[in-house]
Amino acid sequence: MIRYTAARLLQAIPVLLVVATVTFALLRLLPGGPFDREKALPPVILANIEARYHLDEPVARQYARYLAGLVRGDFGPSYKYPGRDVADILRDSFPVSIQLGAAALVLAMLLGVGAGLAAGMRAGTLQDRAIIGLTLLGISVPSFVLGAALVLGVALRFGWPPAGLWESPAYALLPALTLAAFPTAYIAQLTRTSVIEVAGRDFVRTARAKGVSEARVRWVHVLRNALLAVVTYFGPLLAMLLTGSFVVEQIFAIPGMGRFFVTAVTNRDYPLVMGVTLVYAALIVLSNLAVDLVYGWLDPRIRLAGDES
Amino acid sequence: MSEPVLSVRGLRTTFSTDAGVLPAVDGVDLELHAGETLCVVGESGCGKSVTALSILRLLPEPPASIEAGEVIFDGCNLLELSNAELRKIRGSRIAMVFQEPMTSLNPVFSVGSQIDEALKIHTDLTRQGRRERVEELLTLVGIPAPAERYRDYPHQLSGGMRQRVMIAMALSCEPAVLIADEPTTALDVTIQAQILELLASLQERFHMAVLLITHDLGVVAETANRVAVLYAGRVVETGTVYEIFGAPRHPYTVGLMKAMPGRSVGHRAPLHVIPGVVPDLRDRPEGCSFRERCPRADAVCAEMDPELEAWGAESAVACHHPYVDERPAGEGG
Ligand SMILES: Nc1ncnc2c1ncn2[C@@H]1O[C@H](COP(=O)(O)OP(=O)(O)OP(=O)(O)O)[C@@H](O)[C@H]1O
Ligand code: SF4
Ligand SMILES: [Mg+2]
Repeated sequence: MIRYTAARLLQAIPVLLVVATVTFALLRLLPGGPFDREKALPPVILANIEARYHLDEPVARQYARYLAGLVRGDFGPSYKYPGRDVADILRDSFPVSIQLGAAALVLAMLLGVGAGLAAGMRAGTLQDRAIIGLTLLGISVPSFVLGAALVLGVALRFGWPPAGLWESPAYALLPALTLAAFPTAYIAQLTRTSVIEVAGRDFVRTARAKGVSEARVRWVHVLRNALLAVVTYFGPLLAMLLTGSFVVEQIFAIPGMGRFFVTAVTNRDYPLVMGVTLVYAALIVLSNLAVDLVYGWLDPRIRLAGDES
Repeated sequence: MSEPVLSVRGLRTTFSTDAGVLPAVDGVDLELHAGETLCVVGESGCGKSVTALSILRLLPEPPASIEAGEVIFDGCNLLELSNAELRKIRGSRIAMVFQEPMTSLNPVFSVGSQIDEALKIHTDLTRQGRRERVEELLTLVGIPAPAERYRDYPHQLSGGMRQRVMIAMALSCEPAVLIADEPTTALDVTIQAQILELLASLQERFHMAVLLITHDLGVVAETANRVAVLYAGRVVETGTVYEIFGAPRHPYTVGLMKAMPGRSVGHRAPLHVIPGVVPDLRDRPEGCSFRERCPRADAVCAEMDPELEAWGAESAVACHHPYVDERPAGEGG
């Protein structure tokens, strides 16, 4: 397990290198530069600025310089926020996004799996149908609509929980709910389908033939197999929560990383785009590793390479 | 003959389908006596599995529904027991082995723990006692190194080994009745013979009655004491294995025998060679359901459905014109 984890972490290095290279290349291929303005800057000043950020060097040189910086943990300066390092910006905004994402993730997993089990274990009942209805709603309502509805219908009407800014855990409530709505509904549907499918498998009949109680059939034999399908969704889910947080951070004026993801690209703030992309990529690599570890634990058929036990 | 340990009377099990109600089993009678092997044979789809699963009420309801009949075991009708009472019998007094060893075990639990589960439910043994018992059972069904195999997961074992595990699980509480639904159909020929031998030796050891469902007349010839022939959801003939093979009375049974190439295990008898097809059960025609395929059918057969009538002490046949000429004198009735 430890060996497997270490090996996977080592494999992440080339993955991140590829991400860095491709992002670097794509940014340079984008038309326009970081200091293009409506009113063009005087050439002397522009040349000065470009020299300061080494933008006058050949691209290959700039690339090597960037990588050398990365190794030292230096993400470079931000062009758009002069005086601030990309590392500073990430240090301030990343924890906020991660808290929001984690809150939404936990919410989506708990509510989604719970609702999916409640529906799937009682397929065909009124309870099942009510949950299906709710999931359809959760999947079809866009987050900016839901976010606005929560702000107007809850925060403004009752004065709680707060909508906007990020000062205490209560501030995470509405944005996390907004962010979690779609994945909750999706996970609920996935769990329900999976439970119903597993409940029809042969080994469930074997368990009943053995005298196993209905509750144990459901909560032991069916549950563990049904969760396998849900765990596989965990990786894409995390990616979605991270990239999806942009809209939610806008609605609730949350000082997270999501807003940089978009504005940095329009600003051609090369180092900031690189920094944000690399952090996201690292997160996705980590979440995929987490999924594989959990999967290996749930499903004995998956033998993790390098795992001797 | 002794009182049967298990008797099925007038069992009718239907499925509600989009195209209407399908009576997959429609008036089946079976009697299983202590220590004997009763083989249930018949073409695919004739209701063998549905009969077996109805006995322990293991069919999903809906779509299945047991509409009539009784299953008498130990003086009570299993079809009327509460779920809790029935669970005490499942796996402990009546156990089952299924056709598909590849999918009949839960992939995420070790095989040992799956056998242990039955012991945990039905016995007062301690954890240690159960562990020893599981290893003993694994040895008994011919699995070497039981302490190591205990921790194996189903995917680590071959089909034959998994079926041995299923048998160990079924035998864990020393049931009075074992229902085996085509336990060897999914296995290689050599493994089939081994598993059948194993079942026979264990039957003797535990004095079990075995209800063995099979397609394979070779298996019937090797293992059965008595045979019940099913056609279109009904028993059309029962008798001792000698009668069924030596002097079959029902035209369908006669057809089956003619169709059988060899009689040793592994010579799969294709049961589809009797010309014609089984009638649609949703819309059972008047009269005998075999008459479209029957060489002896006449006007009576088209009007009246033959009842299963006792013939001698141990056999019965449902036919208006059974083959009797071949019978030795003094046995008719
Ligand atoms: N869940 C179900 N829903 C609807 N019809 C079913 C269901 N299970 C079985 N049947 C029908 O019941 C009939 C009897 O099926 P059964 O499985 O008992 O046949 P069988 O004799 O065991 O055949 P085989 O030799 O192929 O196993 C078939 O016509 C089948 O289509
Ligand atoms: S009752 Fe008639 S049709 Fe049916 S099997 Fe007997 S002879 Fe054939
Ligand atoms: Mg069958």
